[in-house]
Amino acid sequence: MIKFIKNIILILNILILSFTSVYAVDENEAKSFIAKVGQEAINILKIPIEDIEQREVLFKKMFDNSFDKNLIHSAVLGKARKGASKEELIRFGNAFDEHIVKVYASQLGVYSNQLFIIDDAKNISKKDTIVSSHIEHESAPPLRIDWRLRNRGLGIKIIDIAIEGVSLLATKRADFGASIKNGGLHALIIDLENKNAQN
Amino acid sequence: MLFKNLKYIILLFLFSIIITGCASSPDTTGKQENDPFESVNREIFAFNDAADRYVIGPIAHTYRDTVPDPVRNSIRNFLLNLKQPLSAINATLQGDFERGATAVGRFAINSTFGILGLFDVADYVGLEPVDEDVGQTFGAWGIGPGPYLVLPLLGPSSTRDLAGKIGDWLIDPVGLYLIREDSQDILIATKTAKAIDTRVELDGVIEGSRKNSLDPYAIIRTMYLQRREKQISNEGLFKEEAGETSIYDIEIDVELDDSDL
Repeated sequence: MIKFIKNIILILNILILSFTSVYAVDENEAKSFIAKVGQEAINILKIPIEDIEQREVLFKKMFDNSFDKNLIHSAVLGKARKGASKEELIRFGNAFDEHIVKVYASQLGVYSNQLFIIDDAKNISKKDTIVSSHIEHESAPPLRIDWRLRNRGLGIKIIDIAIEGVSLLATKRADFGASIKNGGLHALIIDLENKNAQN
Repeated sequence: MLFKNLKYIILLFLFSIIITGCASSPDTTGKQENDPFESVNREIFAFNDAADRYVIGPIAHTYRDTVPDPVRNSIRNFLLNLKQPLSAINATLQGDFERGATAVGRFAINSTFGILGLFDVADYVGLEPVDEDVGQTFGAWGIGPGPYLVLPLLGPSSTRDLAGKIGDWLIDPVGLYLIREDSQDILIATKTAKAIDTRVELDGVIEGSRKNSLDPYAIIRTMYLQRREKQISNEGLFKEEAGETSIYDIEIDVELDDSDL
């Protein structure tokens, strides 16, 4: 009987793993996905910078729907995630999301006839696809944006963005490194919440 | 005699810096960066930050707010044109003869039809700007950045890029010509204008890192190192064409619980 239960548990584990495994993202689907996200971003940029609350609402919606937030939280924390309690991780996730929304809703500037152009997409591994795009404006050099996508069974999601080669994940890891070194995840959460309160 | 000795000292210095760069592993992907002089770097960063808040930043903002866009664009074109001979040499040293020729073509067209480079006529005929320096050439030759450095007033750098700056000074045809013609004042004026123009260009990054970052020093460090890697790779579309940029390399192999889905 015990053996039978063990087998059932094993089969269930395999089933769960198969459902939670990573699906390859089709390159054309990836391009369509980023075209949709790009249009959403342009709609946010069209909102005047003074209407920051509306910008934050729409940016949060885009961040919630199109980004793999759990994966990003974990990747940003790296080793600091080990040993953290569920409550701490949730509190960090909330503080991080608010930080990202506040920073980008105010810093992305306003729309002034820029063109968002998708250049290509390529699978760089079994898990990840990179979509390359750029923004054109008559009075500025083209701005290249690379999007790294993954599907963990939740649909296609963004897991990193690089603007002119500078990765959001790498930058945030660096930004949080000193707080984590000084006082671990708890110190980072406090610092982030304080920063959010200031902005 | 003194000049000859000085040249040897500089060459020795360059050589030692390049060796340091070779010995260090390049790391620009968000892992622990190569920053053995961090405490000194942070002191210099704090000094630079104060200088920027009270002197350099206000000058750059005044320049941005008072000089009309078309005039600033022309000044930027003029400064970029002055760098084309140096870019041509570096692109050629990197084995990129096409971009080397492009830089020569741009310099010839913009210095004449573009009225000393004030107007970027070459861009209209399909010759895109080339911006290469000796630090990028060292990088293209496979030399890693080496330890990260913050230079007083000049800002973020690395041992490789510091050697590159000295190399730029030694081989820049325009700079050498102005020195030979005893026109150091023009050289200093162009370098000052370039510094102010670069500060205007980086305004969003600098002000943004101050306002939004928990650790502006670390943000600027990682952005600088990633950006330099991208400049060295000469931004093709994909990795095979472009060399490595951070988004391709950063490890995102995170084990998540089922509840994290």
